[in-house]
Amino acid sequence: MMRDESDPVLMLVAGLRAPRPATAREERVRQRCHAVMERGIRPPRSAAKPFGQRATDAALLAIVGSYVAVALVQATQVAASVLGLH
Amino acid sequence: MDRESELALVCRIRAGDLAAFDIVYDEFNGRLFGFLARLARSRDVAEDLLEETWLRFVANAARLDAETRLGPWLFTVARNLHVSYCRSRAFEDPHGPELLSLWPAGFQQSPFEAAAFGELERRIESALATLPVALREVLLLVGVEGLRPIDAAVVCGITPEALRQRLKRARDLLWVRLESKEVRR
Repeated sequence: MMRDESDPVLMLVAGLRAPRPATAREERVRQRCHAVMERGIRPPRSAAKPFGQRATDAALLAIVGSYVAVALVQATQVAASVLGLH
Repeated sequence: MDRESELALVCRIRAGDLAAFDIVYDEFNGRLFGFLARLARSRDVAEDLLEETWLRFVANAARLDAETRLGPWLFTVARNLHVSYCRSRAFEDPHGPELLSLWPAGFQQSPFEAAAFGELERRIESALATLPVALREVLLLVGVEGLRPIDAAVVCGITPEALRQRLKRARDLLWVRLESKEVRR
């Protein structure tokens, strides 16, 4: 505390009683802050995915990718035959 | 709280230590509320701004600088939230000082307390409430909360010299208001 004790005005205001927030609200805010801090230290959801789920996602991606590739090849062949390129 | 304990607390809070947060909360919650209540002249507004101050603190907890000084950090956020609140309302304060409501409805004090603090304290609170907000905040930070002037300058976003001048004007004006019969009781 760095108040100038020779200053009567500062000493007057320093002597004022401190109002307090309502106890119930004080506790509620504390709990909200705890919740935010707990969320903050948890790993991000994407990094926390289990291995099985990540493998399933990769397999699905591979199947969809293959299907799209085959469809593209077939579409090209159909287009070529229609246009009489062969 | 000495500087060493403060640095240790900052380190623990950055790591998400709830017990460390509780220590800081217990140390500063009442002080921040008093500051905001006298700045806003309303308990309800002060409680809302106080909650937002703490939520910002915990939202930034992991990113706090290791050298953070907790008092100036918290008072800066609280003060800036009050400034934003005033701007969003486009006026400083809807209440006259006669509506100053620092104490909850139904607040009881003993006859001794009423006699010891009553009249003088009411006069000081009323005089304080009549000061322009820029003067009131420096008086609250240095006079009531005991912040070092250099820290109060950081909180208010002004130079130490500007703070010194503002503090002198605030003290002089408060003294005039206290002596004046215009201060409403």
